[in-house]
Amino acid sequence: MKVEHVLIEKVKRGDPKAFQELFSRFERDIYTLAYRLLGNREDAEDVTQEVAWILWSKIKSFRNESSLSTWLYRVTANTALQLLRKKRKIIYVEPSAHTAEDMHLMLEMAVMDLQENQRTLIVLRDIYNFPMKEIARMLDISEENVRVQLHRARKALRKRLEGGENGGMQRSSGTNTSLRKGRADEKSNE
Amino acid sequence: MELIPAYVKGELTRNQMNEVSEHLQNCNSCYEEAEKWEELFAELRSLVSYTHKPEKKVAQLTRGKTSSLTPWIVGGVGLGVGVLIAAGGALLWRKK
Ligand SMILES: [Zn+2]
Repeated sequence: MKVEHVLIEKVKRGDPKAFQELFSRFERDIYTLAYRLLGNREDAEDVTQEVAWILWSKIKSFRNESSLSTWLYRVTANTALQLLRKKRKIIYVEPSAHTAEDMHLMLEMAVMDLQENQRTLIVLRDIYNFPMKEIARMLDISEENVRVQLHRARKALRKRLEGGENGGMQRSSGTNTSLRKGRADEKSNE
Repeated sequence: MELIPAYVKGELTRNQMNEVSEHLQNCNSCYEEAEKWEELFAELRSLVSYTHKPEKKVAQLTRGKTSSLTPWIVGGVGLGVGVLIAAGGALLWRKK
């Protein structure tokens, strides 16, 4: 954390090397959130790129009161959702060459297999733990609506997971890249 | 009981939380249901630390000129507008 603050200060002074180092600490996290929201790699890479630019150009306005990862997750989610809205009609989830290897992968595949609005809610609320209020704001719907739809999404996810034991997961789409367990200290998002 | 997942996530009003809590103390099947949700939420939450690797390094995502003098455009495909990066920024997206 301390090292990160040093980096942030350096980046604020316009040090490109420090930026590269700082960004590389979060690149996978940013990409992964974008991928989970968008469902395909190319768009996730575009969002990652965009977030890199936002980090570089807006870091001066970042105050240390929240953690940088929280800030970046918020920026990433907003950027990805903006893209999702624009591309709504043509979004597709890439079919995966993988079969479920372990619980995490299987769970992620089940999430990716949900219909788009349900996937969005599960990703934002149940994986990344964004506050309900913030999700409502991000999606421009009422909090009550978030509640109702989230409930449906959770039930749909449970159903998929429970159907999974008899091969219901077969046609799952999801990751083309394997999951990597991050360092424990990267975990916190609140 | 429909409120169980939201209860487990602490998303209910205080009154609802109390109601569900009381019910769970007296109803075994709902209690077991709550345990299942709790487990699922813990697993979902743990996905945060399982990340994917971008296929292309961000360094290679850039298009356009890399001249250190000309500002260049980074493709914001789908985002509508390309992002203009000042000359000084050009270095940033090169590979280490
Ligand atoms: Zn009951």
